[in-house]
Amino acid sequence: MTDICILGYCPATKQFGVAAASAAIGGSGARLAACAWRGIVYSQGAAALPSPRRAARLLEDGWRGKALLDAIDTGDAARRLVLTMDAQGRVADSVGAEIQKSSYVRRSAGAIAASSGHASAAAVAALLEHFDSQAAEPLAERLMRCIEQGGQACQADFNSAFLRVYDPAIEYAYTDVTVDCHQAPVSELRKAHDWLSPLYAYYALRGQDPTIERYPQWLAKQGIARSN
Amino acid sequence: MTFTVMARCERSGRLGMCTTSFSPIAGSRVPAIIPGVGALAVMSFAAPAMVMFGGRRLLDGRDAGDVLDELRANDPYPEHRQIGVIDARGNLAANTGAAAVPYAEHRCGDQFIVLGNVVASSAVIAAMYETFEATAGEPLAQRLLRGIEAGRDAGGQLDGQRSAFLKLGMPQQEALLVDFRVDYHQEPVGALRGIFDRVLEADPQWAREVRAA
Repeated sequence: MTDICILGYCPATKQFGVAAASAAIGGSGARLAACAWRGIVYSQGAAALPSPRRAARLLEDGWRGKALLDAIDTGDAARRLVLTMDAQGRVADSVGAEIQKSSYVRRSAGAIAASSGHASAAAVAALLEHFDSQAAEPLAERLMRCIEQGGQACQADFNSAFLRVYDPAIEYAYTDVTVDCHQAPVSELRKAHDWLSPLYAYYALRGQDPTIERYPQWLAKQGIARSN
Repeated sequence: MTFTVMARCERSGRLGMCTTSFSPIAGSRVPAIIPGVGALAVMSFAAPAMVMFGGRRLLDGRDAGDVLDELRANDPYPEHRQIGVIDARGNLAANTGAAAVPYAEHRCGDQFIVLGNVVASSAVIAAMYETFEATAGEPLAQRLLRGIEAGRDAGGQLDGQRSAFLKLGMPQQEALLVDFRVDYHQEPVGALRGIFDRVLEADPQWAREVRAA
C-alpha cells in the first residue's frame, strides 16, 4: 500500500491539518482521529487505527505525543505508521517493525511528513519543501500544494486523497474534502478544494444561521465573482 | 437541498445512510453513522456541530426520540432543520421543520427513514420510500443506493445534485464497512454508483461482507 501524508500547523491561525494520498480506495475515516482543540492522529501503511473512536477520546482527554501513540497502538502495531500533531504543532511518530524498511518520516518546523509502500524519501522531501517555503499561505492551500508535489515526486498510483484542517474555534473540521476511488484523486481533490475554498466560511456560518443569503449573494458581498 | 435514505437492518443490526445534495461535501456535514450505536442526519442547513452533539448523545445510550428532542431544544433554528435519527434498537425519530425549504417531507418505514428538502416534488420522497421497501432481500448498501437513485430519477433536487455519500457500519466493527464520498461532481449519484460497483467487482472479500446483509 503506497501512501503519503503531511500534518501541518500554522502558528498564526493556530490551525492544524492533514493532507494525504493513498493507494487505498477510501476509508480515511478509519485512519484519522481528531479533536479540533487537541490535535490529530493519522495512520497509514497496511493497517488502519485500531479504534478511531478511542483515539479521539484520548485526544479529548489531553493525551498527546509518544504517550498517545503508545496508548492507541494495540493489535497491528507492527504494520502501522502513525503520526500525531497536537494543537500547538508538536509532533510524534511511530513506525511498525514490519514496515520500517519501506517507510520514511521527516519533520520540519510545524510539520511532519511520511511515505510508505512504494513511495520514496524523495516524496517526503517534496511534501515538506513547499510547506517550509510558503509560511504565509493559508494552511489548507499549503497542505494541498504539499500533497500535489509529494504525489508528483513519487509517481505512485493513488486511488484516494483527502484534506482536513481544524481550527480550535470550531468543533468540526473547518476544511474537509475527500476523493474516494478515483484514477487521479489528487487533481480531483484540487478541483474540489478550489471550488470550495472561498465557501468554507460560508458553510460554517450557514450551519449556525440558516437565514443568511444563498452562497452566490454571499460571495458577491465578499467581492468574489463566480459563474456557478 | 438534500435527500437521504437511512436504515437499520433488523437481522444484522447494520446501520447505513445514502445521501445526495445540491451542496458540496455532504459526506462531511450531514451524517453520523456510529456502528452498533446509531445513525443521524441533520439536513436543510446542515450543521456539523449539531451532528457531533447528536452523535455524542447516541453514544451516551439515548434513544432516537430523546436525541431528536435534545437537538431541537438546543437549536436556535429548529424550524429550519430536517433531522432523522435511528438508534441501535431500531427506534426511529424524524422531523421536518416548518421553515425547511419546500418541497420538504420525511416518511418513516420499518426501520428506515426517507427525508428530503428542496426536492422537485413529493414524488422524490415516494420513490425513495417505495424503492427501499421493494428491494427488501437485497443487501442494505444496495437498497440505500437504489433508493437515492430512484429519488434522483423522480426529479431529485430542484437545482440538481453536487455531492453524495454512502456509509454503512456493522455493529461488531467500529470502522465503517462502506464509506464512499463524492464531494463535488456534476452527477454525484452516478459517480457513487460507479465507485460502489467497481469496488464490488475488484474486492471479492469486501463484496461478500457487503452482500451478507
